[in-house]
Amino acid sequence: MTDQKFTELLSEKLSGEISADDDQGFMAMLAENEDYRREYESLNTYFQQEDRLYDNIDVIFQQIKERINVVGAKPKPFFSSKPAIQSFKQWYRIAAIFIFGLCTFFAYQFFKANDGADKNTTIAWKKTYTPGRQTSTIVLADGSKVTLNAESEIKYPTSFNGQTREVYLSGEAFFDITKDHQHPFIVHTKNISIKVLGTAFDVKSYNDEHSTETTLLRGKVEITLNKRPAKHILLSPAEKFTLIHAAQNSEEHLNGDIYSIKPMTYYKDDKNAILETSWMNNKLLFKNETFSLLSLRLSRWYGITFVFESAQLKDAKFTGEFGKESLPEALKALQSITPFTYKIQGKSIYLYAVNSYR
Amino acid sequence: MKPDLSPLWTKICIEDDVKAFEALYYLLFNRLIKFCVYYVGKKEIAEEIISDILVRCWENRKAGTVILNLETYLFTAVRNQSLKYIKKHAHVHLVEIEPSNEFQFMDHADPEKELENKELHHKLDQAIDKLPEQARIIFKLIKENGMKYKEVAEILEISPRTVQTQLFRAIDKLRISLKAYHHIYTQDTKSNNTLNLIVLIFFLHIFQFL
Repeated sequence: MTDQKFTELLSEKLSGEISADDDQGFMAMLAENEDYRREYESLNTYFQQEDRLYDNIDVIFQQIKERINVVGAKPKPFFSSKPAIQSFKQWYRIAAIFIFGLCTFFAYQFFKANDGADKNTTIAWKKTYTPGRQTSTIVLADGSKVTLNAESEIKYPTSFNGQTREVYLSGEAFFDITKDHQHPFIVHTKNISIKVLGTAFDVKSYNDEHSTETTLLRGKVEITLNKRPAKHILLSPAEKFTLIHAAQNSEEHLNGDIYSIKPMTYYKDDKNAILETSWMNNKLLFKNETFSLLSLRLSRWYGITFVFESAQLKDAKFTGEFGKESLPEALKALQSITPFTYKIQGKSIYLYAVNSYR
Repeated sequence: MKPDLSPLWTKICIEDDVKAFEALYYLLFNRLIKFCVYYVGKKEIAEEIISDILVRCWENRKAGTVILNLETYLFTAVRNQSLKYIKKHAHVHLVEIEPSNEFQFMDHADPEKELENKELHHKLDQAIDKLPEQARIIFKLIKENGMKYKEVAEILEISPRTVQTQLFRAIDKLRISLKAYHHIYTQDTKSNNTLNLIVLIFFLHIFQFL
């Protein structure tokens, strides 16, 4: 039992909680037992260790300093008692700042427009667009391979000059980028920018969808929210980043956008069937997806527009896999999960719930 | 051995002293961010949480003179915000990319001894990491932040007795790990000695024939 007692006294000693009496007892124990002495020495050294300083410690303090200066050296008063006259002054100040902001904004746009024109003449940009039902692969000047999904467009220069390799994407594409640490590769989409050094990843940013996604297969990427350029998010392999665009959220923390990082979705627990990049194998995989979202993917897959005549159908959820099915075959499969009827007219398909009032 | 933060905090509250704020930052930041990372896993999230708390701390400094123990206050705030974050993102599985020895220990005074200790301390760290979450956090708060039972109890909202029991558990585990490590170490030296003895005898025999 004395060994247990030693553990207790040792704990008290190391944590600084030991009483004077117990301390004497502890020292006595050490005096008569060499093993205990050695244990104490080792653990004491362990306890005394100093941590290495955090890498970004200086950077973060600078950021904090900026934030507290922006807010103003004036602290929030403990009891706010602002007389009415003072608030008028405040309004004038706010108005002045607002007008100044507007001017800066217009000036920037003005200069940017000119700049843009220059950029376009000095770098020859190429665009590639894939219409519905197709995918296409292009090779960029540095050997990077980009596979475009249906209804997607990429804008890229014929040759990469300068410090970075930049392209602009609308839609979905899979990137396999050649490694070049000196020249980071940047993919610009409407809401986020993705910076990579050399990796394989998928980007999904369709205009008619409410979210932007990036799934990383190899390497590491750094994502920047276009609305909040100071914010950098690091993604690791097998992670998927999803940004839900503003609109309904009132999350002031990120100026209206909410993002999440989840593991990649493996379909059927098969490591080779990754849901997010299944389109590259000409397979359409979906897991618990709402009909409204699925219909967007199906419309690109089959080149036909889906119109929901019954709103309730939009929320029906489906799990499944499509490959070489024709449209009627695919619809039949969906109907077996949730019954509905449809009418095809030209390039549109109209969906009706069963037992709907017409 | 822990620096007293009260004069710094007083300066910040009453004189709006930014330099004092900076000193406070550098004294506490390392420990606050390690604490935050225990909960949220990711450095970037922790950085943001800590920044927000410190900025708010500065903004509300006039009301801050009533805070008795600034350190406990800040750690409690970090814990609350971290838990809030975890709850909000409960549906999201955060993959921890950093290995647990992200913050490596270095004995700057004696680099030779550092190498000797490094392996042992690594083993001890591993033993701590195997403890259940609460025991681990309690141990780290006491070891790395030099906190007393009462302070830890206040931050984690448990009783000081629980803190003590968990600490005993952790130290017990460390002792076991230490004994195992030394056992292997002495075994190696034993086998080394045996080897040396055999070689010596061999050479002696050779000399016999010369």
